Amino acid sequence: MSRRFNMINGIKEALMWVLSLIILVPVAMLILNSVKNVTESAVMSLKLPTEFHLENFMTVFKDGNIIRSFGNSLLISSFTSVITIMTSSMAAFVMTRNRTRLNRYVYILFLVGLIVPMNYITTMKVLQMLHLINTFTGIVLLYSAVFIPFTVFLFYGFVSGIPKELDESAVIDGCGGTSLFFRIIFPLMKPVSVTALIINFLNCWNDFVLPLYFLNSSSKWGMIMTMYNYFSQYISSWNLVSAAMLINLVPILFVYVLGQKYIISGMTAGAVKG
Amino acid sequence: MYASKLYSWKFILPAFLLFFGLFLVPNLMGFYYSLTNWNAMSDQVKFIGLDNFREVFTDPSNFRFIYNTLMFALVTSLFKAVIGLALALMLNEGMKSKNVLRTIFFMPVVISNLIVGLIFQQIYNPDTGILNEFLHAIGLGALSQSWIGDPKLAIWSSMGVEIWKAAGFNMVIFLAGLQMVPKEMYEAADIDGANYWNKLMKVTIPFLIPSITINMMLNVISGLKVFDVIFALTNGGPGRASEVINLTIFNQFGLGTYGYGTALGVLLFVFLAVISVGLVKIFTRSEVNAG
Repeated sequence: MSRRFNMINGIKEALMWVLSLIILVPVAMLILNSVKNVTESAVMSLKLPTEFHLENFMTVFKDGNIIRSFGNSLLISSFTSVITIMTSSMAAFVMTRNRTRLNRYVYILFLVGLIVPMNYITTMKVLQMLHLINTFTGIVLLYSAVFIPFTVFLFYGFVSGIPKELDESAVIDGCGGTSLFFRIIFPLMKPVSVTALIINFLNCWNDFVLPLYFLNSSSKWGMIMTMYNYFSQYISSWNLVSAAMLINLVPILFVYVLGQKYIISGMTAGAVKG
Repeated sequence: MYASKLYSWKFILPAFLLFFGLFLVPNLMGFYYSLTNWNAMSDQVKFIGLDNFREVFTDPSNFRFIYNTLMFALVTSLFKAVIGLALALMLNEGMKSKNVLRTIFFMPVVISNLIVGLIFQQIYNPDTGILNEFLHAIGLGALSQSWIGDPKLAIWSSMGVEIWKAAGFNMVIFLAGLQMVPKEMYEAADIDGANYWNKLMKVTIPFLIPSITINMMLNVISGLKVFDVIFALTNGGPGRASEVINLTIFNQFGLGTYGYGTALGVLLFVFLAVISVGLVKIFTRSEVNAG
């Protein structure tokens, strides 16, 4: 019985590994092509390169504005994540603890933000009115506005699990609302904060729709947008384009592998409760 | 009184102001501007009533992108959920390498849509792409296609990319849902002599209804909002064959026909609102039945 069971499991496992090739092959293709010469890379296949051209990466680094766009991505993603986490955790904390009818409606309004789309064209008008079009400030605040609904939702679920007795004893010890939140509650939220940080950071890093609409000057573009520009310029040199894409992929996959646990716990936060 | 002092509304204000000012206000403004001839050519914004919407619904060439958007949302939602469920059921059991495999299948979720779209442009290439090469290699060369060059196929090929990207996300939600099924239920089913299929239908699926709800909601919402995968893969082409609403809006933005583009944004808003409310109604009913 158990031997047959092992056999079936072994077959299943082998099958899953074969299926995983559907994910792995495109990535492998990218890696192989990034070290070929131009002629060989024109055919994006899984053939091994005749010789390794690691200088492709040097070429991309030299004329791909990699360093500057990496800095831009880092700046935009970090500020967005911090603003989103601070504002969302404060809002979620009060909405969970003080369930007045008004707070209930405000929470529902936040949830509506998870469903409805952005109206890009009128958003442009609002940014123009605020003189925030084509600025770092504008794009950071805009990302924060887009990420706040999901992050509020994440924190809302978590704060419910922090016992209210904590608040009471903190008040007895002389805490006001502000010090209660910043000294007691916020430190307790660390697991969710890390989750929100990683998910928002990745989403921000990967996004190119908002820069496409609201950032016209290429000097402010992050890595993804710069890579897209590079792609349009060097469309015939797939080896360089592949190298540029790989340079983009490495930081993302690095964060993914390190923060996997947090990403998945955040993604499944709403699913488990039903 | 005491609660409102300790839990001050001022704490909600920063998040609400940002969200309200930069997300809700533009949406509300959209309802007004969709009724105007707002464009880049003139500073005069004139009220024109429902003309923009009339234009959307009377021009037959527009039916294509509306159909594409709805079809895209429907087909990708179903496939993502079914494939995600199959992966979750396989990887929920005692495999040695299940954690590595989960990591691999979830990986596309974190890769930028733009990069994914550009890679698949190459994979789908009719002459040099590995998809056709693979079909030739396994003797199905007859099935090789011009995946994104054929107007009939382009939107379906882009659905394939979206499914490739997000099936792993569905898998993860289902894996979390599978943790909620009590072990005793399976033991009881074993005693009753239930086979795998019975257990799946009578035990697993009813317990997964909440996960199915979440997955389908998120799939449909992201499907209707699709933009970047198609932008990178086909840019709506060939011609306008694989255009979707968000891509049309982007093109209108480029053309400077803002009023018309805004009207399309309002249309997408209405689609999302109506369809999500409908889905919530359907799923809450099935939960009651299952429970």
